[in-house]
Amino acid sequence: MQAAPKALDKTLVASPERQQEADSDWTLVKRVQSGEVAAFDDLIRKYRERVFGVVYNMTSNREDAADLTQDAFIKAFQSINRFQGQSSFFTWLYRIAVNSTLTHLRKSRLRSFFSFEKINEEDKSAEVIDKLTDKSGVERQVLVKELQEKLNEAMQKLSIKHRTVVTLFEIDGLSHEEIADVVGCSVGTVRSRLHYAKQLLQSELQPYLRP
Amino acid sequence: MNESPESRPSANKVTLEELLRLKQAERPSAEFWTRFEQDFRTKQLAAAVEKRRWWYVFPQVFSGLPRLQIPLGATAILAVTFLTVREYRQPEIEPGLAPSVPVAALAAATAPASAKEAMPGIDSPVTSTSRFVVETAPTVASVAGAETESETSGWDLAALMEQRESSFELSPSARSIAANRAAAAEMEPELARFIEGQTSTLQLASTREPLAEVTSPRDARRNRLFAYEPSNSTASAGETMVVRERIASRLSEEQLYDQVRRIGGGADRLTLKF
Repeated sequence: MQAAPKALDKTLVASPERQQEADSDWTLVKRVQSGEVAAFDDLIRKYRERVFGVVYNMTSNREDAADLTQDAFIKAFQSINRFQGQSSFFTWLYRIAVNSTLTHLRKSRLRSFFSFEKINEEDKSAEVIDKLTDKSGVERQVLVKELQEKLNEAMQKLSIKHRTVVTLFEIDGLSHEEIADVVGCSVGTVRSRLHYAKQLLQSELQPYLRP
Repeated sequence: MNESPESRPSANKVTLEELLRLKQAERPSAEFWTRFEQDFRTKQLAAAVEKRRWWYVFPQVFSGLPRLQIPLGATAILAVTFLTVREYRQPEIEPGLAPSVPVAALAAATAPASAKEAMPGIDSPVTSTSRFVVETAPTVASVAGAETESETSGWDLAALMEQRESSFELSPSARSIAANRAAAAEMEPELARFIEGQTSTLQLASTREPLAEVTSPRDARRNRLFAYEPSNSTASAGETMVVRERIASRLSEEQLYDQVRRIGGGADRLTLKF
């Protein structure tokens, strides 16, 4: 496997998994840059759910999220020859997606329309729902829907910048450094935004939260 | 769900992180991804077919520029420095415009005989050079006749300048104008004199400052007072001067009092009249 360029070592791919991921991405990118367009499909399949997740949690609208994710991949494909491996591919792709979403949100600030995905009740999410209610069947479904709405309402009360940071950290699991790289601000700013956003979310979701 | 969230026991509550984890579980179905891929292919094709705007070329062109920042900046600074020095350097006298005879030689040529005797370093070769210059340069002065020659015999500044001008190489057009004027002087002396007069008037008008010609009413009044002549014819010139000096000093005093009168002072105020 061809190693990622030196510049990539300086970036925020600290963990071995991230480094391995960055190396495999770089190989795919090199193949795309050399004219093998099909290699880009692998990158799409690898990242589409994560990119969609970020955009969806920022917009709270599945149709908009789908469009913005597609646009982000098209932009990435059009500009892939300019990608020189200064950062990892996923950071670069996230940056494109986040910037497109921020532009979209600023344009359509006044017409907010929410459409949600269904919560898949798997191991971790089921645990959370179990803690909140001992009901089952229809009542449980109603609780989950209500919870989802409250959660999205609270998220929408955050400013775009704060929502982006919370989404990337709490939902997508990026590190502070990675978020700073994606958003284009300092790590301190990321921490500060995260702290403020959590305070606001806690006050909004107080009835569901442990004191 | 009848139970309100607030009434739940604390054991049945979760942390914010756990609650946000629910957002991770909001995932689209497999059908969604099938449709997503179809839409993406359509958009990708449309983007490939769509003609790119001309300004999309700029990011590609300038993408390599950050590496050349220092050399480009240095080149720009050098270019600006060179242009600035070139633009604002001291004007140098071109060899063609420089006088062919030194000023000392010209002075010797135009100086009177007594002055030449007082200048021991200057002798006949210089004089011959100046003669050569005068002979070879067909100027207005050379065709002006005996009057001009008699004027150039002394320490006249105009004559010196004329001689100096004669030592310059004249342009073809200047030579042509001089020849025309000489011909006109021969054929139509009156017309030539008229042209000379017009030229000198124009030169005088161009050298005069227009604002200097404007006199204020105060100056006119002062001039009138200074032009005072005592009616007594027996008064000597010295007495007249004394009277004028008094008037002048009186005038300045009047001005002073006039200015003081404009400023008025009260117990608690200061007024200024305009």
